[in-house]
Amino acid sequence: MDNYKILFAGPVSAGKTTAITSVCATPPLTTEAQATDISRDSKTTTTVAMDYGTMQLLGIETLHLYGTPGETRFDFMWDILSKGSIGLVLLIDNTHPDPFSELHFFLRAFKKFIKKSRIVIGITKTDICVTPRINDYQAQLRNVLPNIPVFSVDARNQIDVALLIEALMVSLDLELAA
Amino acid sequence: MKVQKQSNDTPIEQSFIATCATPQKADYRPLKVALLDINERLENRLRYFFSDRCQGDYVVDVDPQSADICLIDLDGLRGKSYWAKHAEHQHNCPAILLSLHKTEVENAKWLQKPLQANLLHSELEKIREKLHLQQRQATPASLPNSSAETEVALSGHHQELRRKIKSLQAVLKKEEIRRAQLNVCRQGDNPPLLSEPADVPTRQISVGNQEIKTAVPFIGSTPDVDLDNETQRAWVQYDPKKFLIGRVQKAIKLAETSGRPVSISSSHGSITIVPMTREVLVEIDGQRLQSLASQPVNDDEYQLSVQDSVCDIPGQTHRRPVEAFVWELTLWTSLGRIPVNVSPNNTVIFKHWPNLTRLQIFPQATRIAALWAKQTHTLASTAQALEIPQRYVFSFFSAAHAIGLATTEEAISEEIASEENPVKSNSNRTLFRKILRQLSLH
Repeated sequence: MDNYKILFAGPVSAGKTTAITSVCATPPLTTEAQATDISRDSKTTTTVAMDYGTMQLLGIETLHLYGTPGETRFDFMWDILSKGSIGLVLLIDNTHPDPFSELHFFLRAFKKFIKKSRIVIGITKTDICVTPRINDYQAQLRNVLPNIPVFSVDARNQIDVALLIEALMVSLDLELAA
Repeated sequence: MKVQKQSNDTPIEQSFIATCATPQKADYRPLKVALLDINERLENRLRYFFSDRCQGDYVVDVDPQSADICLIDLDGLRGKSYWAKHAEHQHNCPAILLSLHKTEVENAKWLQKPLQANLLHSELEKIREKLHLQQRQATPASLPNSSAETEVALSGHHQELRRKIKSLQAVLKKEEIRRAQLNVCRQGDNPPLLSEPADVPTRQISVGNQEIKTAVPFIGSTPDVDLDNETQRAWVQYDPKKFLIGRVQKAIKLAETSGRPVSISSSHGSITIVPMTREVLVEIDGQRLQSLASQPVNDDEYQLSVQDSVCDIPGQTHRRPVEAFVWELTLWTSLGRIPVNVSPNNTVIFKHWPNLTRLQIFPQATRIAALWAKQTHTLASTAQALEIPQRYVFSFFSAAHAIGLATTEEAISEEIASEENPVKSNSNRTLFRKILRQLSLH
């Protein structure tokens, strides 16, 4: 069976693990460990290797969802996990002091992958911090990656995450039957 | 480092994906559910859940007095007072209480947020059974077509068949009313709403019945027309200025230029645009607003006035982001049509994807957005490229146009149509189809 993968990436606390958990039909596997100084302020544990969850499709095929660790000291995992992925879901934490720098940092980090695949962006925690707004993110992306889906996302909300994945899928192939 | 398994919580939306088992019901009257202090997003999901996965077994009722079941969010601003009031006055109306933290309650069922769809469905079904039992005990002879003996004798298959027929009848009745309203709106035009125009080529429609059913309130049911035929084209056009959306857009402009709240007052209630927070305060309930949105307005029906502050705004209101409000109001107005000044043969200029997770989603919206983000198309060619009815494209365009994300080029270039890139097929299509079916958002 082929391994179709979707990659979830983004900074620490963006909600990657939560997003995978909310969209998977089966309980995902996580690799949580005590957070370092960098991420300790926002949460006690963080992903150190990867998150892994599956969506069982009709029949025997499975869609594999991989979440990368957010901490940059584990960035070697980003390349490893992105191999063979069909698309990237990038989550950005809107409560970060400078979310645009986070956005551009991850776009640079996954530049090669984005060139040959598709990306969608989910902005999380917009209920806690309403600015920057989605239009501001679109303005940031205008000259870098125009016309890609950027949605406000509650990572705990299955509909939000599923809609993000759907946008990724239809961007990959427009000839989808409803 | 340890590898751990997470808990197997299934949020409510999960069950939008997992098919709800068709329950064996004895009473197929849709139960009315009052949503008290439920926020807009959860309300939208519940409406969808009731109509789609519960197949119309439950409907939202704006009046708690006439509701069969009350759903109360205790974490809302007025949730606890609603519950206190309910507990005091409505002993016979079962209640389901929602909150993030465990709450001990008597005479009601408590469910933890985020809602688990299976649990909610199970509780609703228990209440249905209980109500039905009470009804049968109270009026044993009031069921001429479904006596207890008959109910027992009916096989599961027959019950299911009858439920489907009832559901179909309800849909047809609703559609009949809607079409009657549309005909009133279009007096003089007499579009052939009940049948396809004779000269319109038959097109393969790729949307399923279930999708059509759930999408009708937003995309209408106007059949495809020959867009080169001026008369037929007029059938799929509407003038926003003649509807409530026109007044709302005028109020938004006024609020933005003045920097002060602007109210639209009417006998139905007020709508206030607050430019500072980009919110709309709506006094009119959703169902009435939907009805008002599709009706042409009289000149003196809605009065605009600039307010000094939001403190001047009277009454109880719902808060909505301006964009989400305008998007939804436009869908209710458009019903599968396009603004009168837009030519369907002009190229669509698409600014960027709408923030679809915070807007009223409807079938085909992501596909249309993806197509316009990738390729240049006219409205007419979009429907052809995606093999979907025109009304989906027109609705999406109207809504995106209303929030400033889509417009059309002035000049018509005939070459564009021939130069438009064919939609590329992807080798992973089978997989994607499965994924979308699994996601099953619509």
